[in-house]
Amino acid sequence: MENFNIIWHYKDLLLQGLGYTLFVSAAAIIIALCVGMLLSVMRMGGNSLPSRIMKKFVAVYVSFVRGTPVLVQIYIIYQALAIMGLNLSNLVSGIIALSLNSGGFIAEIIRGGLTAVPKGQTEAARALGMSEPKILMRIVFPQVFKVALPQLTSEFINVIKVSPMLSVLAIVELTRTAQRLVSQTYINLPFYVAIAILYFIICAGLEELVKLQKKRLER
Amino acid sequence: MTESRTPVISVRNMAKNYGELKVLRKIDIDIYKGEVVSVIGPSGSGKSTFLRCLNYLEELTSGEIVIHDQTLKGIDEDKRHKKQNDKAAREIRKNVGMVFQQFNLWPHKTVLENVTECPVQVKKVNKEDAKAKAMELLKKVGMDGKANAYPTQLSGGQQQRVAIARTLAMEPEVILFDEPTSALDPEFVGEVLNVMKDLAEAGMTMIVVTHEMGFAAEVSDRVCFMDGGYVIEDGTPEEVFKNPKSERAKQFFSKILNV
Amino acid sequence: MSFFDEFIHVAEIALPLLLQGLGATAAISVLSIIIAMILGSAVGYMCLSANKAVELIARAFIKIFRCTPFMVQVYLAYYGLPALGLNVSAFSTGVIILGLYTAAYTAVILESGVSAIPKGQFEAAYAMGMSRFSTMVRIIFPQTLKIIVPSLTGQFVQTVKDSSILSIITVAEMTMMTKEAIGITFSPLFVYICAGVLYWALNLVIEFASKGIEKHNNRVAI
Repeated sequence: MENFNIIWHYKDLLLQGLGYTLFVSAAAIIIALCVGMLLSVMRMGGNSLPSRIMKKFVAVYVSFVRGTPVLVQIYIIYQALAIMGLNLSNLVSGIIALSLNSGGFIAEIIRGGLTAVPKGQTEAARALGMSEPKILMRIVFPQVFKVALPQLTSEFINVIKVSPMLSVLAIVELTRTAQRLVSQTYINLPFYVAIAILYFIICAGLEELVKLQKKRLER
Repeated sequence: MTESRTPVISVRNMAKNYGELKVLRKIDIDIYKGEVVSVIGPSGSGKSTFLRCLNYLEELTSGEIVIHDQTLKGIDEDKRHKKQNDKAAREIRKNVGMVFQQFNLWPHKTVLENVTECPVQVKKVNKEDAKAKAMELLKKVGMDGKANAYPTQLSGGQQQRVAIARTLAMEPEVILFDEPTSALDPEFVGEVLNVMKDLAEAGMTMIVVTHEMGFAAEVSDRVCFMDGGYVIEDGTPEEVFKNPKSERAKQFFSKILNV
Repeated sequence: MSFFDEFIHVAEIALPLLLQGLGATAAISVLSIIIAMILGSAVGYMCLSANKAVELIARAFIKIFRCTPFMVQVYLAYYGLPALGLNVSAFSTGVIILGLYTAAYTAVILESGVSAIPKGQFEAAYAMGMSRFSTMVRIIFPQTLKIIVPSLTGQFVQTVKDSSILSIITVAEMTMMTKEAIGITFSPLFVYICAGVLYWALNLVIEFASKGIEKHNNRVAI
């Protein structure tokens, strides 16, 4: 009970941390969508040398993103951005790192979704005189996102679950908030239980949404 | 018939529902030792469901099935029957084998392993004896040459013959055949029917759900015609095929015989 | 010194340390995966139970581990195990929590694999008098295992990656060792890149092995 009171005492800070977590995750997933689309477009080229180089680049990029820990990716991006002399805040670096990571996964989701769009769709648009970028943005991607919506929501859940790693960059999201409170109050377990519950509510809720989206697709 | 008149399988008042759908309405039948019973009828008549109830692959809704001293009871009458049924089924399955339409051989095991698996695991027969017995049975069904092959390397007819050997390995008193030739290409039907014929001649008690009217007429002692969840005709092949009593059986035979 | 020379210089110092960490990473991963395979099979089996209470317990286990961040689970284990009277090393704590976490995912993979096995496979075993347990262990799981090799490999790659998070409780795996290497070389970017490449190589090896197993399985039946 005493523990509960302490947590209740810091509820505003914890909720603020949760707000940061959601903001960082949302920002990351939006940028990641763009990264994923860009990677997909780069993969679409034909057999010319530049196209093949781009395809190879995307393959290596995706393989690296999927084959290395997010934590290491965060460190690398943070250090690389610093060395490039870009004077970015930790928050921005962290969001960029998460987006570049998630973008690789979204590229794979889009790859799956693309197979669900019949070739006739592009051909019809082309026959009507639409430009290639327009075809992609107005005909192809909307259909891809429609079928891939459940997986994209799942990817959002993943980003939220990965976001605690940004605490290593001292970004005050939910986990970092808990770490700070632990070092201030010398009480550890209750705070971690509390944030685990908060994460659980968000992620389990989103999982229900995924189920709903899947059902809607099946109809 | 000359056998003693205690039935091996005795079905009383059996009904089976899938939710609202009444698949079996009221089945009463006795099967005696050494009988070969063919169960025929249009699709959806409940004949496969009837067979699957006999070794408890399906729960019965009401009524009872007595096999040896074991009784399966309808679960709608009393939910507690479920536990008793599970127990009874374990005993019943030791005496009642089943051969499936889709063979259901285990693809990760060789032909020989498929046949020895249950004697070793369920009956605790030692491995060497089980192997020797299995080879003997495989020879009987003409599959001893493929003992080390995997099921996917065999034709449908070959797979079904192995499945029969697998069932025989448990030394059952009764074998249930659930449309054993329906999934086969026409050229493989004969070899499976021949194996079944040999079994019948050796005195095995068999209940065969089938569309093979030739087999039903030639090999079985008894033919049951099912429709709408009832056994409508039950007699010798002669009686049922030549002089069906019911209008529905007449219609059914005229349709399939004219094709 | 050119950029490239500097990288080589850093790598020369960092690699021995990182490889030491890589050994620990591999050990942690293998131990966790073993725990996950055993526990995950048990939980997956419970999910398929006819007993609703048993199934509920299994589903709750899965839900809890899948719907919270692994990093938070690591903190909970780090502070929670001693509170439960289990005073184990950071290494053991890491193996335990990573094993539990991976088990939840393994159970789900197993369950979906089992649902892909035709019903007739169960029925043939039941009709032959096999118990539920031996049917699962002898007939269903071996077939399932072949189907789920790709998803299982994906999960193991994930486990190797997740082990990096154990650096926050001072387990001396590879990510932890980068800190030491940085302390000597003062070149964080290059050290992290080296670590990244090592993780990448390890995971490519796992994927390669999995492809080999798949090919082998495809040749031998099914």
